[in-house]
Amino acid sequence: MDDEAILDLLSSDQNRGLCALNAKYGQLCHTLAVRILHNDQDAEECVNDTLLAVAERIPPGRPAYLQAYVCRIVKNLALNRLAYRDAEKRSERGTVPLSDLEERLSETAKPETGETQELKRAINAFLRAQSEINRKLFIRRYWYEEPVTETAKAFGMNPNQVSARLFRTKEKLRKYLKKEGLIHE
Amino acid sequence: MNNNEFRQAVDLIDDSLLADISPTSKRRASGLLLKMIPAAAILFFALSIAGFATGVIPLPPYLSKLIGIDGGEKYTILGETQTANGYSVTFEGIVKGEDGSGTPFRYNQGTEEAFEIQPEDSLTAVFTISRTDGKSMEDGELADFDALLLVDGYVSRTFYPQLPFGGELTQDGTLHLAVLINPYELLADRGLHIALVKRPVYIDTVLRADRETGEFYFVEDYDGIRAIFEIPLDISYADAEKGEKLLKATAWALEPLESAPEDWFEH
Repeated sequence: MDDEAILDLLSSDQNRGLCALNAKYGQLCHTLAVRILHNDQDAEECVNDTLLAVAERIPPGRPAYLQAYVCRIVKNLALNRLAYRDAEKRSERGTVPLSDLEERLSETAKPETGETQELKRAINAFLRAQSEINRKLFIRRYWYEEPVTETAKAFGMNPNQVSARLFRTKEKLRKYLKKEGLIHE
Repeated sequence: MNNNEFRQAVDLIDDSLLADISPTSKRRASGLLLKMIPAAAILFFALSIAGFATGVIPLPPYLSKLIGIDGGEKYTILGETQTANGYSVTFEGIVKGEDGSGTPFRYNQGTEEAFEIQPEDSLTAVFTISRTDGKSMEDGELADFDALLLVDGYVSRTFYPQLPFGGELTQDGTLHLAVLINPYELLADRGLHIALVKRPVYIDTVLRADRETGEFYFVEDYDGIRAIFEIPLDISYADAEKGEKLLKATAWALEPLESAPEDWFEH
C-alpha cells in the first residue's frame, strides 16, 4: 500500500490506517528503536507509542514523507527513553536527580534558532552534493543507525570499503562545516 | 567537530533525503498487537499499555466464533488487502494461542521415517473475502477456494501444499476464513507465503515462480481468485531439523529453485 493510501486510511478509518501503517513501517521502526535501545520490549513500546502519536497527529497533519515522519518520531521516542533509562541508573547511583530529566528532555523539542537553521541548510546541501552511494551510506549509518556490516551486505560491498567511504565523507563534512563557519576547532 | 556537533547535524537531515533510503529492517520477534482504537485516545493509550505489554488481547467476537475459541489468544492484526479478478482479499491477521487439543501432527506413519510434531501453540491465519461487484459472498462458496503454502526458494510444477481451513463465516456479504498454519511455524526462518486460488488447482496454469528471484506470480490468463501474502511468523519458533523433516514429508513436490528443471519456468 502506498503512503498516500495509508494517509487516506488514517483520515477515514483509523483502525485500518494504523494496521496499514504498521504493516509497512512497523518493522523498520522496531529495528531503528532496537538499534538505539538494545532492548526488544522497550523498542516494541516505542513503536506502539509512535503509532499512537501518528494517530493523534493525522489528521489534520499530512506529512509529505511518511517514512521519514514515522522514523523521526520513533527515533526521538527511543532517544528519550534511552536518556530516561540512563538517568534512572544514575539516579539509583545518586549522580543525577530524576526530576532534572523532564527539563533536559524538553530541550530536544526547542524551536530552531538561526544557527540551527544554518546548520540544517549546510548539512543538506553537503549531502546533496555527494555521490548517491556515499549519501546513502552516510544516512543509513548515521541517521538510521544501521550497522556497517548490514549496510555493506545491502550494497554488496566489503565492510572495510563502507567504513573507508564513511570516514572520508565525515571528514569532508567536517571541513565543509568548518569552512562555513559552523564549527570551530 | 565533536560528537555532539556531528549528532546535531545528522538530526537535521531533510525528510526528503531520509525518504530516499530503504534501510534494512529485521522481523520483529513478536508482531505488533493492535487493538481496535477507541474514540478516546486516552482510553486507547491505557489499553495499549495493558495490552501491548503483555502481548495478549481479547479476540474480536466474530473471530472467537470463527475459530471456535473464547478469546485470550494473541491477535496480530495485519490488514493487507489485494484486489483482482472480482475479489478483494484481506489478510486480517494471525491468531496464536494454546492448542486445546494437544493432538500431535503425525507424518510418514508406518514407515521408518515416521515422526510427530507437538506444536506449542495453535496458529491461524484469518482472511476476509468480498466481491468487488457488490454482490454478497455465499455460504459454501469456500468450496471453490484453496489456500496454498509457498516456501521461499522452493518451486513446484505440480502442486503446493494445501493448508486446511479452520472455519468460515459469512457475514454481511463478506466471507471470513480461518486457515490453519500449524505446524509450519517450524519453517519460519525460510520465508513463507500463502496463496489463495481457485479450485481445482492446475498449478501450471495458475502460479509460477521467477527463475532468478524465486518470486511467485500469477499466470496472466488465470481468472480466479488470486492473492499472495507473506506470512509474518516469529522466527524464534523455527527449527532447522524438524523443519527439514516437515518439508520433506508434506511438500515433497517442491524442488529447490536452483535445481528445478529449466522447462518449469518456460511459458
